[in-house]
Parts: sequence; structure tokens; C-alpha cells
Amino acid sequence: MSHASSDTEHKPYQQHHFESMQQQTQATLLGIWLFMAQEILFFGGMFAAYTVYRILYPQAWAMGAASQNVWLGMTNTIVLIGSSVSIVMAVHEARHNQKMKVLKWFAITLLLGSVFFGIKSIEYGGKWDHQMVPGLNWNDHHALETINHHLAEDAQIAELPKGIQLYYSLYFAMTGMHALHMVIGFGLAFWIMGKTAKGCFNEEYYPHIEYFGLYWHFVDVVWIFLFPLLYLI
Amino acid sequence: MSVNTELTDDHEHTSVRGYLMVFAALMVLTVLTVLMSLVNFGLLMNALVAVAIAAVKTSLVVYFFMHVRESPKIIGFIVITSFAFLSILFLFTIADFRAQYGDGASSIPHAMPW
Repeated sequence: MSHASSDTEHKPYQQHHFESMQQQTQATLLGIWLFMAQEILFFGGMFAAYTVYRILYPQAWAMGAASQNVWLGMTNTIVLIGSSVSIVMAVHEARHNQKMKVLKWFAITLLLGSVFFGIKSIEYGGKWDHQMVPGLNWNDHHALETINHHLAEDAQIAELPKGIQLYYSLYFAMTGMHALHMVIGFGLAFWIMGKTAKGCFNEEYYPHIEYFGLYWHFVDVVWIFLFPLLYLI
Repeated sequence: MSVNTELTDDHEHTSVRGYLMVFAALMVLTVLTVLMSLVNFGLLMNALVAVAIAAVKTSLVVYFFMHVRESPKIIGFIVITSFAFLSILFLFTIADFRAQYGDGASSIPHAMPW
């Protein structure tokens, strides 16, 4: 197909409404980042709710954080940052048109993501067993026992602090929304791995890989904030 | 493959060595954030320290891993603007409830047991 005003060849992946690949790439990058901006404000709303209630119920927040397993949280942080590195390596290899290496780095990323899910389900399962899931399975007595179990001898509390269920609601809402984003990421990753295996990309055209990287890094950034705010008060 | 001692490779993209250095920095900051939480600077200071360290980690991820370093300037502008609007959300919300309730939960009418 020919373009009357252009004497350069159209790449097969250049869309008709763009005058050049460079314009298409810049427009697409801008679009993806505007989506990132939306996601920042989306999670930001929950962080704002967290901030308000933390200021209002400092003891509940302190007790809630004390009942979390910091080592599991820290392991998850390291695992996710590691998966960010592996995704960055996938983009790096895509830039050099190394199809098998791209697939390898994607597989490593998903493996690390699975480790994250495994640890998360251990945490969620533990909270369910201790009946500390507000709205679904909450028992004041068990919750008090569990929290005291994590506190030192001289710091035991006699009754649940006000707002403790709010802390746990926000814990599940924020980490749950984060985990949902990771599940969506897994779906996207499988789709992109399929396209990569079929040879849809080359060293100058690999937008799916690049933008998936951005999405995955964003999910990592959210966790970088969630970890200290929920686990380390 | 020759050893690349620069932070960038031929096309001004960050090199693998650069990425690994960023990873090392992120690991150090993660350990630091756990250690800092063990010291008691007071409720507000502990929170600010934790958020500050998280902000540094985020900046590293955004600038290097998310390729903002190699992107057109408008992208950096969008990132900063998003966080600016986020801080407006935080500042005005906090200012509002502080004006109504002071800094104590005791003055809020509690209808629910939680």
C-alpha cells in the first residue's frame, strides 16, 4: 500500500493514522504513562484512606502491624524487586532481538511472582485461621490472642484497640487490589510470551514487552510503599 | 561479551551492570527500612522515614527500570505531576479532618464498634 505524501516505506506494524514510527512510539509511550498516572491516583485513594485512619487510630495501626510477619513481608519485597530486575532484563534482550532469552526472563519473572503469591496465601490463610478477616471471619477473642502473641511480655494489651478492624480491612483491600493487579499481569505476560514465541517482535519493535515492563514495575512500586506502611510501624 | 564498566551502553540505554547496581541499591534500602523501623523516633518521624526511603526506592525504579531516563522529557513531567496531584489529595484530606476533629479520634462520634 502506498502513501501519497510519504516516500518512506511503511513498516507492517505502523498504524495508518501515524506519519512515522517515531510518532507512533512516542504517542503510545505517552498513552501508557497516562495510564500509569491514573493507576497512581487509583492506589493513591486507598493510601489516603490509610493515612487518615492511621492518624486517627495510632494504637490500632501499631497493633495491626505488630501482628504481621515482617520476614514474610520483607521476603516478598525482595522477590518482587527481583522480578522487576528480570523484567528489565527481558526488555534488554528484546532490544537485541534475543527471543529465547526474552522468554527465559519472562519465565523467571512469573516464577518470582508465583513465590510472591505463595507467601501471600500463607499470610492470608493465617489470618483466616486466626479469624482476623473483618466482615467475613472476625472473632474479637482470637484477634486479641493473636496480637498479644506477637507482643512482648510487658506490652500485652487487655482489649482490642479501636479501629483494629479498619486496619485489617485496609490491609486486605490494599494488598488484595495489589494481588489482583499481579494476576492481571500474569495474564498479560502469558499473552505476550505467546506472541514473542511466534516471532511477532524484533529489535526495533517490541512495545508489548516494553510496556508490560512498565506495568510490572508499577506493581512493584506499589508494594515498595505497602510493605513499610503495613508491616513496619 | 566484553565487560562494560559504564552505566550506559552504546545507545545511551542503561547497561546490565547499571541495572544490577540499581538492584543492589534497592536491596540495601530494603534492609535499611526494616532496620530503621526497629528504632523509635516517634510515631510521625518513623512514618516519614519509612515513606522517604520508599520514595527513594521508587525514584530508582521509575528512573532506571521504567526507562524514564531514556524517555522524552514529557514523561518525566507526567510522573512528577501525578505525584503532585497525589500530594494535593493527601494534604487537603488531612487538613480537612484535622480542622474538624483535631488529632484525636475521641471527638469523632462513633456509631460502629470498630
